[in-house]
Amino acid sequence: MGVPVSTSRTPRTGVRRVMMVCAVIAVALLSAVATALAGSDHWFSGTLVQGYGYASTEAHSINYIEATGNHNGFCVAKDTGLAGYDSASRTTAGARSCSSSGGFAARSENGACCYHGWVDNGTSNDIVFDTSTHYSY
Amino acid sequence: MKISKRMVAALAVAAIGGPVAVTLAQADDPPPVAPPTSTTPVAATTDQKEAFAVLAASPTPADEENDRITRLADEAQRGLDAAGARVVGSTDAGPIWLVPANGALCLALEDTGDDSVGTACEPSEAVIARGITVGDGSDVYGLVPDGVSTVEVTDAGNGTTTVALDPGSSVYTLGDGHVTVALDGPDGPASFDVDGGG
Repeated sequence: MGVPVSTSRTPRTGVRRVMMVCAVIAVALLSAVATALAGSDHWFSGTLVQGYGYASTEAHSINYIEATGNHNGFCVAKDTGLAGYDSASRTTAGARSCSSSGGFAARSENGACCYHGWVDNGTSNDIVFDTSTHYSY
Repeated sequence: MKISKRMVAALAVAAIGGPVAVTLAQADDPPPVAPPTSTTPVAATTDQKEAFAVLAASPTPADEENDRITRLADEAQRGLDAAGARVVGSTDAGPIWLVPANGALCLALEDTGDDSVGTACEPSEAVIARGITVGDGSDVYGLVPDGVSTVEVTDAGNGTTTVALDPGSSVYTLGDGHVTVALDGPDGPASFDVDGGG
């Protein structure tokens, strides 16, 4: 009786191994795809002079935007406009979030495609932004 | 005790790098202020709960509708505590939230139609002393500590307006201009610069 049982277990173990290998490969592939799709863009740091904003070069399905500055009054948003510098009063695609009395502002976005990251300084002071300023996609 | 080469190298780096790091931090005027990174939520402190009793209260059904705050907390990785966040008011777009964070408090504006939420965060001590504000590019929303019923708003032309908060509300609304807000906070009179970027 012992031999048939042993014989019948061999294929099951083999199937399990194949399934495990397939699962590991699937996880690895999914991870690789996720890594390829997800990312972050530290699109601006340093001094942003008064009255100006700056849009990222790249456009993505933005999930999150944050900025840290050394003076209150700056805003972050997502934007469909041209990359680079523009007036701080430019109309953005999404709502702004403004650090009106502190040094940190952030937004969680809906992930719709495709937008530039935007930061603006509509104050009467130049603002220095930290290198942590970025958006995620 | 045997001291390895790695340990010696680490001590040397710390000895040289420590003063450099301090010097760099002091060079910023004022330094950027963001809640320190934290991968786990940081619950409201006793001091925060004393200044904003809503943080000590059990969650209401509105507080439990915190999916977007949870998403914001997950993405920010700065210790925002979605479970401890409380609704403190509303705009035309959605609820206004007070959110504990790592060494900080955040005021967040949820936009239910756009499926988004924006926030501004400030160090806990400052928020306890005089409240916090966040702008949406058109208006600035401010939250005062418990017990404050009016704020004095001084504009660039030195004109002062007294803004009375609605009974039972701790939220006031300003335009996006540059003003000074003064109030009688829990630690005494306090005033601070507010700029909505407009």
